[in-house]
Amino acid sequence: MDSAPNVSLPTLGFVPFLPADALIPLVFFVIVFFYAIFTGVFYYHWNAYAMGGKVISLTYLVYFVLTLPLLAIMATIALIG
Amino acid sequence: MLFEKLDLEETEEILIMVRKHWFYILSQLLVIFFAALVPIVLLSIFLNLPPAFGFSGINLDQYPAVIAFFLAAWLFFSVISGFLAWTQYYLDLWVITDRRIIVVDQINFFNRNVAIFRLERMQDIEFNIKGLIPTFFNYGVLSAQTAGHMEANFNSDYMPNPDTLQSMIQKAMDARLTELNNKPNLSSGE
Repeated sequence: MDSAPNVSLPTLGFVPFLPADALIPLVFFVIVFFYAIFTGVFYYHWNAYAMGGKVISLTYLVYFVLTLPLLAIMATIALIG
Repeated sequence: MLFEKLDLEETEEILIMVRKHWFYILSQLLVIFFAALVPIVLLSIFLNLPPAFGFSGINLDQYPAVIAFFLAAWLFFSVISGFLAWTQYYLDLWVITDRRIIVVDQINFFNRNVAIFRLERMQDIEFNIKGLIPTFFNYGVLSAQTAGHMEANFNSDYMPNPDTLQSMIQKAMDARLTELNNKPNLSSGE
């Protein structure tokens, strides 16, 4: 592999004024905001309208098993890495 | 089953509860699944291009964290889309009782339509299976009309085994009409 590029704060082509390490946390918080809204909407609909307790329990399980790891990966990249 | 959410009448019995055919949700989830793979496929193609075909001035090796983040975000929204599709599928419901047909149509998250059709007012139940895949998997459009000066129709697509449903509704209608003829004091509701 070549030596590390001499770019400490890479910018993205579509937002040239914003360095990537500032953009990513911003995008992450927007995603968390939408996640909270979607989770609330799902919770309301699954509880208010759904029929069948086992299916809904399984739906909750699959929902959090799929979304939380992805959110954790994004959080790690955005806030730590 | 949370039957109390349906607000059934006293002694009313549920004959069957029907959702759209599984092919409907499977096809939607498959589209979302393949859409989720698009950036991964594009990225692998892009990374394996010889330098002569690469985009000048962009070296993706410089942005592994950015790429990983946006890939995760894309997958994340794909998962959310999958659950949106699943929820709309799961909340769409047909309940056929010995007195009514309750059609719950979750058009989108903030648009829910619940229609109730009394069996004694039903007429002209039709089903239509059109196309190769519907014929193979036995699903189609089920429609019916209610009698009276305030005529109402319902029309539901992707209904599984529409011939069986039609026959079941017809039998329930006949039974209900017989019951009402034997007990004319039984008006709607009690």
